[in-house]
Amino acid sequence: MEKNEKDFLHGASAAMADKQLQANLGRLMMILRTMHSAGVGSAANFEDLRRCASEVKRHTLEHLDFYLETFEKKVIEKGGKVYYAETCEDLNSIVVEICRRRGARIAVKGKSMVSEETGLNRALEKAGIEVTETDMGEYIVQLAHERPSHLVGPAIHKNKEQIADLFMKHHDLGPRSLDNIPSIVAEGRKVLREKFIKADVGITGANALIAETGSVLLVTNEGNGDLCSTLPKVHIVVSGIEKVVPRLEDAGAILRVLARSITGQAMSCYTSIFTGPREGPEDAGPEEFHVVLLDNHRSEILAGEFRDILRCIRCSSCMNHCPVFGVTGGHAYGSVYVGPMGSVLTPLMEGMREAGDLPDACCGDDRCAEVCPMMIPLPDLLRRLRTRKWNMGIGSRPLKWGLSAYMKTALRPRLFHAASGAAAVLASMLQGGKKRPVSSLNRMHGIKTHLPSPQGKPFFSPLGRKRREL
Amino acid sequence: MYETLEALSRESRNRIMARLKQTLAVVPPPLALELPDIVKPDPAWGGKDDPLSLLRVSMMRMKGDLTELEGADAIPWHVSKILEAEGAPMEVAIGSDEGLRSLPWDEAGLSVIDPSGIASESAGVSRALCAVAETGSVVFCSGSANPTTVNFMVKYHFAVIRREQIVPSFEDLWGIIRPRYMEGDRMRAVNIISGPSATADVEATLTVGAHGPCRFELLLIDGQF
Repeated sequence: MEKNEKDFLHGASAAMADKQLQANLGRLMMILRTMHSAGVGSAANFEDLRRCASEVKRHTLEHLDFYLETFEKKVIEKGGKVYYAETCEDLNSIVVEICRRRGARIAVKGKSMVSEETGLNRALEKAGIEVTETDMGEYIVQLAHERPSHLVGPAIHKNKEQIADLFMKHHDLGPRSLDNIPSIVAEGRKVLREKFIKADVGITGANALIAETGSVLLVTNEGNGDLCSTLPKVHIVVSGIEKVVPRLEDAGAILRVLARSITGQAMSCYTSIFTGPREGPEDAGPEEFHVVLLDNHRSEILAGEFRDILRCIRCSSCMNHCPVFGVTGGHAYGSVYVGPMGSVLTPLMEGMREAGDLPDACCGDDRCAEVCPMMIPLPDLLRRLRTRKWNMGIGSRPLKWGLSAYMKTALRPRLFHAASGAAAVLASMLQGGKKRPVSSLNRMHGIKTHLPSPQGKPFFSPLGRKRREL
Repeated sequence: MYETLEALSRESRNRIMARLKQTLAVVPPPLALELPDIVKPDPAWGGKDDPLSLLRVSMMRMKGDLTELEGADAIPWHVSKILEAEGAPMEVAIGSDEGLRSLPWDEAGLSVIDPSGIASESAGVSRALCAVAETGSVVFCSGSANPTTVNFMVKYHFAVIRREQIVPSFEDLWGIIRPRYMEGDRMRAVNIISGPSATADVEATLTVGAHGPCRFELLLIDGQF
């Protein structure tokens, strides 16, 4: 797992200066929030559905070893193979080796966050295997050599003209017009269909692993995951160990909240349950079925105070409702997992020193916890990470000085009230009593914002007076 | 470093399992007793309708079509009418399902092709396991009779079920497929399909017809089939 950009603040500044990104992201966020409320509203007892899904996952995590062993046994019984990968490198080596044994040259991939986490594409390319992303958005960012900027809309930072240019440059299809969205999608369909047919290996993620039947559950809207798992001779599923659930019904409980939380649908277009390889020469489907399970610090997270984050089903609700993510988009985070869930998961997987700035990308409005279908207390987890970071002494010097100065003042009420009163007067004088752009913010982060001038008296002083009067 | 990927996997497995077993309490199975009772969504709209009306509404919401036909013999004529209107090639891909293959396709002006011959503009017909009224989903089971390729590679997909194969809620599906798993029927792929394929990846605009079919229609048949 890698973190490209230097830090969140720099990434955020760049994102806020990008007009295209700001317009598209704003639109996507508005659409997704509207669809989310429609989805939640379509079930009168959504709270019960949430509770049920979280309870299923909580139980499974408490007995993860047992359910993993059950799942493994069942997959083998049904003709498939299971591999364990402790690290990202392990997963990549296992997948590359499976491909090598089949002499595979061409791979197609469905959307998989775990493969992004391990950097699987680069490992495959290094081994001389051509790999094509087949989710329309993922394919577009792959052509552009960029990272997905949103879990659900990976190419949301691009407009249709930019996508049409990319297609014109990369597809050798002669003169044609790509001036509307349906023609762009149709060309993507056509080009990718060829890839599906030529591919030796199909790689997909999993939305759940069902222990009782040894099956893999996969949800898509485009149908690309199903073509990846049907046409090539080898199907490789890559998944985190935390994705296992006990029974079919339990996978159902997760499905009940998943699509509603992403797109507001009761069910996504395609939900498929795969069990083992093809049943004979007459059957369509792969000759080999492999499941590679990734740990990458999950077993350590399970042991500690952040276990709740392992319930995450990657629905993207938390980021879609996060005011910080809403203005920065995903690239600013410089990590695979973004938004509130990413700000929890990334430091735990990569270390506080590498990604300790992410838990600070939080304005404390707690919306993420309200919308999370798995009832993960994201704001608490973020606070805990900030505390951990403080205790480890990580952070820029000015921030540490500022925070300790604040702490010293805040612990002495008299001093605090005197200082806040003085600060309000000073700020009011500096701004001349008018609304003005705050120039230092403007210079640092390209933010054009007008803060109201302080009204001279801090909140506490009228409150204190009132209390004395009572 | 490791001789084979099996060795690498085994080493990883040992370390992961050791960590898990150190963390987690040892509880003897059966554990299922601890699992919560599964909660069904309480629909905020239309939940009291009969299954067929509910299915119609849910399929419409997912941009799928639903047509009631009197008998199986009407299927070829209906499919032919639609394909003609779409300007599509007059051929349908069908697996080895005898019931479907023996319908009067010739008379309706259609030729039947094998799933291996599916082209980008092809249509396909397959028999489904059931339809879920509440979510507008149609459920298919893989096999040579109705191969998965027909569900995903064609441009126009027609699914056939008998009227009594409509189930009210999604949870009813498990009652249908679990006995088959238990009896040793592997069912390599169970596809739960709700409408035609779609993407919103270009400018967050919903476009129907991504990688799978552009048109998805459920045909409801009365009587035996």
